[in-house]
Amino acid sequence: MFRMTGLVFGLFVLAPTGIVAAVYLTVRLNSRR
Amino acid sequence: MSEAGTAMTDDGGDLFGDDSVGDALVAEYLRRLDAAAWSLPADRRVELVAEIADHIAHARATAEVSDEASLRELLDRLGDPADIVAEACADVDAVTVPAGPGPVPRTVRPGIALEVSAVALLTVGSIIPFVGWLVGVVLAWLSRRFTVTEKILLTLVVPFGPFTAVLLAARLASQRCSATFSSDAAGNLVSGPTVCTGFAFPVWLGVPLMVATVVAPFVIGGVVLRRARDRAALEPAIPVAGPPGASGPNRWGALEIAAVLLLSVGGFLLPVVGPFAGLVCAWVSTAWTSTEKWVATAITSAALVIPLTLAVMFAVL
Repeated sequence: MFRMTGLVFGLFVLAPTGIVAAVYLTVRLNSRR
Repeated sequence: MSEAGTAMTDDGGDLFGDDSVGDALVAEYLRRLDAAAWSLPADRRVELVAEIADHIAHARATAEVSDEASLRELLDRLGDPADIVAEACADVDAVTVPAGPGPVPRTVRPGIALEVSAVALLTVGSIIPFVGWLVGVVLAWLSRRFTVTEKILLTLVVPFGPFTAVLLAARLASQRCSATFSSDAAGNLVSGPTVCTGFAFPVWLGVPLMVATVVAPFVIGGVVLRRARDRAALEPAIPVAGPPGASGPNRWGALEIAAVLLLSVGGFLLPVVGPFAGLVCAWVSTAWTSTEKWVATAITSAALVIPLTLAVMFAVL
């Protein structure tokens, strides 16, 4: 049960926010001259 | 030099009498300058080319430049067009990088790590269903070195990427056939009609279609990467020297790529550990400012806030 909750949390909550953070860092670094 | 004061070519012809060679030299120099200045804002680009053209025209109007040799010397003194553009770039960024006398700043050639990452995720990355391809699409559309046509092509060549598309095709285009058997009056087994359900392409169409689905994204990815590399080669070198504490160099190194990849797709390969490792890479890197690192950490940590909020809401209700 605990393992399943951790997996669901990791996949459906942490991973999408990680994508948003990755896009943010990419935009910031790419926008620099 | 002839007695009349005009330059002579090696075979003795009149070289500078009608200034055609001089005009060609100047036109070629200004063309190279204009090409090198493509990354500057449009108004600054026009202004820069006009400034240099005026300077050359003024020198040619005076006695300073009277023949081809002195014109070449003048162009040499002006320097390589790429260096002039790099200097103009530094002026544009003067707010963050104060100009002044000192050592010539160290420069790096612009890399295409962002474009390579995008193509890698759009092709090999599609092994991670949907997410790998989606992140690749986002990175491709963030790139300044792909044209809009190339971005559309990369996005639509095989939606969801080659591996996910093949996986979907195998799931959807599955056909099951079953034959019915019955016995005749003599007791022999007689096969009845074969009944098939589902959909499948005939072999002569299905196999080439599947091969094309896998190969096409790699071929198109390779072609657009090559074009992006050629465009990057025309860009001016990026000065990396700067005052301590200022924003870091614009450089996509291994650490920066690792941070972005781990934060984006790492969570699907290594739940929890992947994004955490991505944040560690981002904090170790010098390419981002502290503020940017904190913002990225806050965004990722929002994942912790959401379940806590839900738990509190359930507890209260």
